[in-house]
Amino acid sequence: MSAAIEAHGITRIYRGSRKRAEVRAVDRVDLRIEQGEVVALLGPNGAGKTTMVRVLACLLRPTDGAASVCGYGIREQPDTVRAVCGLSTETPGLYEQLTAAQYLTFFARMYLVPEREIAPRVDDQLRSAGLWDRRADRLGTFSKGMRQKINIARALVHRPRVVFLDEPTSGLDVEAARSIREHIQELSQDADTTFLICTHNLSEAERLCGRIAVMNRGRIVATGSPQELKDRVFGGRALRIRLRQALPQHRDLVASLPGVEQAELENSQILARLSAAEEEVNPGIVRALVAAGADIISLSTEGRSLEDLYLRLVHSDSEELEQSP
Amino acid sequence: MRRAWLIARKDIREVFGRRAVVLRALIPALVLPVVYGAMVGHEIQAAQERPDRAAAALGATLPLFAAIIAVVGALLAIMITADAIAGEKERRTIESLLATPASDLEIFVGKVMAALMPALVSGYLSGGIFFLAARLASGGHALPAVPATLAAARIILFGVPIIAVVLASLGVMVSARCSTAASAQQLSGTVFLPVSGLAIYGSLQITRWSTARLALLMAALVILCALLLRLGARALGREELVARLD
Repeated sequence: MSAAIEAHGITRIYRGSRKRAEVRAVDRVDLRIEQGEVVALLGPNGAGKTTMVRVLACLLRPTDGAASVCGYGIREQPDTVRAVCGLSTETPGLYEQLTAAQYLTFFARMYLVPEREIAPRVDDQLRSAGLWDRRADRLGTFSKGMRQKINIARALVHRPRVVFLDEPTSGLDVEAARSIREHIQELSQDADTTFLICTHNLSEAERLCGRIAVMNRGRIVATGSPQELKDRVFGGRALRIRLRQALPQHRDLVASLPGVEQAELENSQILARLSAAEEEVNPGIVRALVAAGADIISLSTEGRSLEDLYLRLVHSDSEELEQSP
Repeated sequence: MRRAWLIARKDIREVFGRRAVVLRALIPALVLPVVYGAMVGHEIQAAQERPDRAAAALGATLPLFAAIIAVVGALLAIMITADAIAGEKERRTIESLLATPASDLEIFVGKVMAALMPALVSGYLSGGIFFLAARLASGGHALPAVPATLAAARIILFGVPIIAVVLASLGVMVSARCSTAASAQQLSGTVFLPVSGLAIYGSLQITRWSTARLALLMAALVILCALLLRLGARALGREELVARLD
């Protein structure tokens, strides 16, 4: 599979002035995103997500490093990179005097979409964003959710191969955020379009994205699917087995089974850390415990949320940085 | 330059949607020519009784008034440009514009054109009103065929576009450096005053200059305008604008 985005050692430093100190917003970032992937860029405020997106979208030049988008170098062919990218900005500033249709038509023309294709594309975007009935209304009259939708539609009207969505549901109410998420989910079905979504919203990242990259203090501290990262960080899944009476021999029995890394006794429960898939290990555990005369009341996977993972990654990275000389 | 034209059209639509901005520039551009035209008309009427006085009186006032009218007419350019980049920054629309494949030059020329076209209309309209008001105030007498009348016509005809391009280019450069439209307008004032002073001084010299010298001046001003456009595109710098957004 070809890479839609490939970045090596991207660094971006904002030069200081009399009032402001120099800021290393992005620090030696390596990133590879395959064509058609939907990747979330997670990180706390000031982690460098927006700067990274701006560098990849050729709005900012990197201080160091190289990157390509759809095979075009961001230093060598910035205009071409901009032409194949769509960027939905965090704060959807809109031309308030234009109608929704005029706004999308303006941007379609700016991307040199053939004139005969503009009207159908604008209509498509307005319909899929649920704004068809408001197409003739000025953008100044739009609600926050509608503004965000038209902002995303603008980023898509020229059918870009790579779409950057910067905090697409930031500041929206539950209903509007859900509607935007559903809209992105529909759009991401297209296998030719690659999405890089910057977000603080962890459940959104888990729902929409196949892979996440966690940024902290300008660096990417981990990348992988949410499950891969959980396995990597928390050492695999855990199974909580509730017994009528859990005994140390039950714990030892479970610990001796293949696919079980470790077992602990907690009250009347056994917490087993698994090194293999649940489907392979769980039946064996149940059989062994029943054969040993244990009464199993319940069996549940000890879920580690993406939030736990995120906090662990960010905090351990921050601690490492603070400890490093 | 297709994108420049698109940006210009979009900006004009945006600016004219905000009536307060347009009215602030249009009111002096429409009122001043009526007042000055009436004063010139009064002189023309007085000169009917003393024809020898006409050349002297009009020689002193006509080019000066025409220069002021050209400057005030072109004022709209700087009012619009103050909003051009700084306003887009303030409304957070600039990032989506800069994310398009439009070059810095296309964006700059688009912004200048957006300010230039209304300024040209306003400048020529002011000039037309001035001559019309003069004729009406003189009781229907035509402006006498003296060098000052010709100079005034030249100032309006050539001065308006040149002053408008200079003001629009400088205005966009100033606007790119400011973070709000209000601060851009204040800073533009410091550009507007010396430019208008020079324009008025130059206009007063025009009656004494030969056609060849005038043609040379026009050529120099056109080159200056082209240089301003090139310099402006460089000064616009996407990089700088985006880096200053947060």
